[in-house]
Amino acid sequence: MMEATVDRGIDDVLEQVGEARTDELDETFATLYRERYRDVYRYALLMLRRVEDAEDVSAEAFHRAFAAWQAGHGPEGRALPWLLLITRRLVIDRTRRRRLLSWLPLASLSPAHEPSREAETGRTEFWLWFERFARELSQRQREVLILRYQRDLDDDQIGEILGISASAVRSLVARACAALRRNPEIWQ
Amino acid sequence: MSENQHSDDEILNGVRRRLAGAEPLIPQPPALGPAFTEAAQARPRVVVRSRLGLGGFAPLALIAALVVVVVGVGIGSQTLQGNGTGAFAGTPGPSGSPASPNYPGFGLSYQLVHPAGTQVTPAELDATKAVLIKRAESLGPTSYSVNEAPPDGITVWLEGVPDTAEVRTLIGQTGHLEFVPLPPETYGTSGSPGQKMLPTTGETIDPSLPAQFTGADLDPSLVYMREDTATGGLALEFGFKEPAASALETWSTQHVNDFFAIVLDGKVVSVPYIKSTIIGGKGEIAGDFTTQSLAELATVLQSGWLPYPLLGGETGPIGGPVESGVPLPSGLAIPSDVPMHSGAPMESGGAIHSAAPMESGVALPSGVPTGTCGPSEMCVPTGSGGPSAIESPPAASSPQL
Repeated sequence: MMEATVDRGIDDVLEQVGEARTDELDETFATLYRERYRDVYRYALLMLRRVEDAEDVSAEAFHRAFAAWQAGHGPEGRALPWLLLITRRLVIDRTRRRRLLSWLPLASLSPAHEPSREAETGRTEFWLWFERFARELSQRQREVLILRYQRDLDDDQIGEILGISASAVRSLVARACAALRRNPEIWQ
Repeated sequence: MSENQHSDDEILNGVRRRLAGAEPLIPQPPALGPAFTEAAQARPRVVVRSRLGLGGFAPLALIAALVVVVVGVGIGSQTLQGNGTGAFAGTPGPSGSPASPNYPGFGLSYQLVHPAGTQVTPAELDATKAVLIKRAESLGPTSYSVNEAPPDGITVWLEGVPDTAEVRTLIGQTGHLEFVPLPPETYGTSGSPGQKMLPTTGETIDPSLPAQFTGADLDPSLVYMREDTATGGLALEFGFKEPAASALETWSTQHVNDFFAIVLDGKVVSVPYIKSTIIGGKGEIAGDFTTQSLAELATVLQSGWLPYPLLGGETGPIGGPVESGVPLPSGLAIPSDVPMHSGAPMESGGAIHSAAPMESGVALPSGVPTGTCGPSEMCVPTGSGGPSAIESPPAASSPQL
């Protein structure tokens, strides 16, 4: 079962969830966790811009996903949109809590976690770029582009995560592109 | 090719390429430990939460439970102090739990009191309303309204947040921040004790001491919480706007080693001293704050300060946000034609601040290892080991926060 899971990808295997035995379900979820953790973490990090928050939200998202999974409320279709939908709710919750506070994702690690100078520079450069990127777009436009970065999500699935239609997703993308077209230094 | 000729695909590919810069920041999934397997086999609903991969999620759950207990104790003690800096007990907003529809709505009524006893102007009432709107938003209510009740009344309706003393304090706090120099001939300097003891946290500042700077000199966009890498705690970073930033630089140059008090609504928050010139008008308040009390202070400073103190803060009748003519405890009524403000979630305020090093920095009381920012101090991040600017007083002469 495990080998089949890895070979065919988690989403194919999920089609058999209804027929699988309990231990197989757990193993399948473990595979899902391994395959999709970085996708969930990436989304949380780019939305929250803070490593600690991304770690917490990712752990919580998989915790909730597994609870739902065990209760028989797993994904009806593909797993990634389902996971990102759970994650998005947690991100919104986290954002509301800190609403007026802004955090410093740069140079805030303790010495024990201090990365190399090169890594630090790369990290700083990315966040400085992302700040500029975020400033030019609305939160929704930004979120759509971040989800579009996941190449295997189509407009329907992005819309499912955001709670909007596929045409609304395309509209947001178009408006985001229009804004970025005026600022080519952001994407060139 | 001109800018306008770039296709959407071209732009999206460019964005995708830039977003790929985040990949080194994305870790591999932490290993699922034995706790996951055991939990799965036992078929409980509660499973494994780990971002460390150290034996599964169970240890973190235990730690989280401990943190909840510790924070709860902290909340209790802060609330008992009643000094306006206590944390919210289960309050939504920047530092508390999220808004819950389970909390029924309640109203608060305030009266703006002009210190000179003269009539409050409509402009002052408008300014007060604007500040209260920001504070109400910061609590994350499911809905809220802030309405003027001329000539000097203002009412706040909140729904989805608990009606606690801390909420009322945050909403009605004047938020008057002052930087009060402590004369060296009386209070001494960092190197020599004075005739009087330095004021301690929570103490009322001597009203005869004039403020050198106030909250009006602050740039709210430069006020934010950050992790204090030296202590592992949180600190509140702030910045002055011009011309106060330049004035702070000049003033700090002339008062090296002198103490000053950071005072909020007449109560001392911190008593640091200047070690060297404060360049750029930026500083940091660090001390023995809880996350929630610091978040509350940040909210007050970010939302601005009220022109005059507010009286009141009594809880009004529960039943609806805007009801024409509904009397509130102080006798105020909400005008029927005042629009409601939506409590819809705001966009993330997670602005990224550059960690550019500053030339001025922090020094520490004797006995504290160099490079850390001890409790009860105002400090400015140092550049590459540069001289420190503001130092907390020696423990012997100034009790810690």
